Amino acid sequence: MIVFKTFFKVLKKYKVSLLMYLGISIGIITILSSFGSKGNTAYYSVSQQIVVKNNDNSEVSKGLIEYLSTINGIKSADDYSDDQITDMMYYTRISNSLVIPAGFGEEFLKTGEIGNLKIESTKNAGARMGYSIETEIDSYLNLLSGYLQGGFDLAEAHKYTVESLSDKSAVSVVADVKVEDDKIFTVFTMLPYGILTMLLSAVLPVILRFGSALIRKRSGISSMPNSKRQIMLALASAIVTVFIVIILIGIASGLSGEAFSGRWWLIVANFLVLSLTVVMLMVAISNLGLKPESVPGITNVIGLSFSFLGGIFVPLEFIGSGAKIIGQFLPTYWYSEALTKIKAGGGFTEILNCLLIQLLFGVMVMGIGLLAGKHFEKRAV
Amino acid sequence: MSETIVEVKNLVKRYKELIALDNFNMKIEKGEVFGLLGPNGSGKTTTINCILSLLDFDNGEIDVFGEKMKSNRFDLKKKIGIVMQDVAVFDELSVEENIDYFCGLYIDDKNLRKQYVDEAIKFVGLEDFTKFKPKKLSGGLLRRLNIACGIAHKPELIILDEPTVAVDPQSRNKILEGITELNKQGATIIYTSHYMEEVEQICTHILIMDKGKNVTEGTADELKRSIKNTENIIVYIKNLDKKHIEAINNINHVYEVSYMSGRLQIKCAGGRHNITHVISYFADNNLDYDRIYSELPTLNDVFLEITGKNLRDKE
Repeated sequence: MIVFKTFFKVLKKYKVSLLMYLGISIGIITILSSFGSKGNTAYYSVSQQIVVKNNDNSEVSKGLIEYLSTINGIKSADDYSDDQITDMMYYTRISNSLVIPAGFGEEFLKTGEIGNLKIESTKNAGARMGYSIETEIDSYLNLLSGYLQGGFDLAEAHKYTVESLSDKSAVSVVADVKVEDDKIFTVFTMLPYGILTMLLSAVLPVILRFGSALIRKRSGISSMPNSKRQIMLALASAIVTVFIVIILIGIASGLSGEAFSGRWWLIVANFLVLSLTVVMLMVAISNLGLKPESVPGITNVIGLSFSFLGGIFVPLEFIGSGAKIIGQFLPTYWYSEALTKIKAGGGFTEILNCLLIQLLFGVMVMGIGLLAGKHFEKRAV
Repeated sequence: MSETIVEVKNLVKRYKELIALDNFNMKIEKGEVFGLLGPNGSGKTTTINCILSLLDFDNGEIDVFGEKMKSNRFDLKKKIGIVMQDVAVFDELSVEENIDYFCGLYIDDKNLRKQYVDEAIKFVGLEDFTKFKPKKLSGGLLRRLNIACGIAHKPELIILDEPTVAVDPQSRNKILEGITELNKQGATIIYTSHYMEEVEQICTHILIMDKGKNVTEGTADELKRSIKNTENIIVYIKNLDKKHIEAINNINHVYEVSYMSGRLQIKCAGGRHNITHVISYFADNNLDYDRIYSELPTLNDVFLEITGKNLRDKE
């Protein structure tokens, strides 16, 4: 037990690094999750309140108002005074005030265009969505004009126009609504940076200290078998690693508000595989005969390069082709790739190759590290 | 009848073309302070590493406590303590925690270990520094911590590999006293050092090796008697001509004269009253000197005469 206990005593020296990188990771995750999920702004139809004063009363203007009412709430300007309309606009109870001029319909049917008789649209300056009403009006009139020119009568043209636009209406209004469902991908995308930096900055120096040539030689002479010492070290490292992994998963799940769903399990499995790969990477580095003092540099280099090239800090689609090629040799790249597949609805079968590539990276790196370690050990004795 | 603690028979160790140990033999009896001397690259560390089973060897036998030493003989290893030349401690742990860790590699019982750790701290005089981290300790205190880590589990055989390198005279004296005390308490000691006066002071038996072979062994006095040099005459004199140096070299029993920075060293082989002959020469030639004295050869003289004065590569 002495090796096990001493591991944690030595680890205490590195608790500041551990907490620092935990703080950085939580900070990054929190900030990014509050910004939304990396440009995944979705498009929803948002109903708005508008006031319409119809001075035309033609079939065309009635059809337009009918169409607008399928999406928005329509109030008649006849029910309100000008001051009331101004107040409603000021308090953003309505986004637009439309005035359809007299003769609008007749002009439209004659020319097929809006011409000089334009609909007067007053938008609330603070309501960006006011622009969407104008888009809806343009869409309706353009399509209606097309149907009329195609030989349909007004009633048929109106019917087909509304039907056509109704298919589109679900995405016709742009609104800045964050898609809460995708938050889990944002937070879990950042976790590799956390596990990399926390393990490398806190656990690696402890392993390096135990593995330093002098300590190893001194311990190797003792009456405690090397295998027993190694088992205790591995056990202690595993406990710390599991602890860190649980904390990170807990924080990520908490921030995303999603846990134990089908895709959550897939995302967690992906993260567990990456964590295992990081452990293997750590074992490899610990065999290179480095001093614990070199750990901060190693942590920064690996943490940042793996994160930037692996699509952790920057989405894979924004990475240059050269960097992408390099990134494909890193486990973080395949971690991100797996997340993308899960997000697109992929199951375990779809992400299996990503998981295997991550593990392959770990096994290869660990193999090289162990071989190098044997070389260094021979030289040390 | 004395008990043999370590016996090395015809040990051969090769590093590719290089023969590090060439049929090397060594026998250490219980209660000895055994000095293992040799120039850099002579094979001392290789011998110790083989004894400790840190290195495989090509031929020969090593018995420790009368039994074959192998890497899995943890029962034998339990009776051995090692103090390495380089300080091997955890920078992150305090003095007490470091000793506790290394003692814990041998002793499982927590209470017994606590007792041993306290005794080791007291033994090396680190009572006031138990909570200190190694980086806060001076070179001498660090060496004492290194020793405490090696001896806390009360081994019967203690191997000290140059334990006094780069320490101040007070700490060195404390360390040497400690080694003598450990020996009095029953421990057998293997001691390697380049400080000949230390070896002469504490070692009861000395073995000099070179190029992986035994060169000579015996007590300090036996070794001194075995060499050509029997007396050194030192004269402090300024501006001595070369012709006088040559003349002194021709005095009976004188076989080597060296003069540097006003210090004349005259080595004599055999003979009696050599110093009176030298004094007579100075008187006859009206040469004034500041100081003259005679001394017996030191272990350093023995070492240099046996192993030569050429510089060696670091082992």
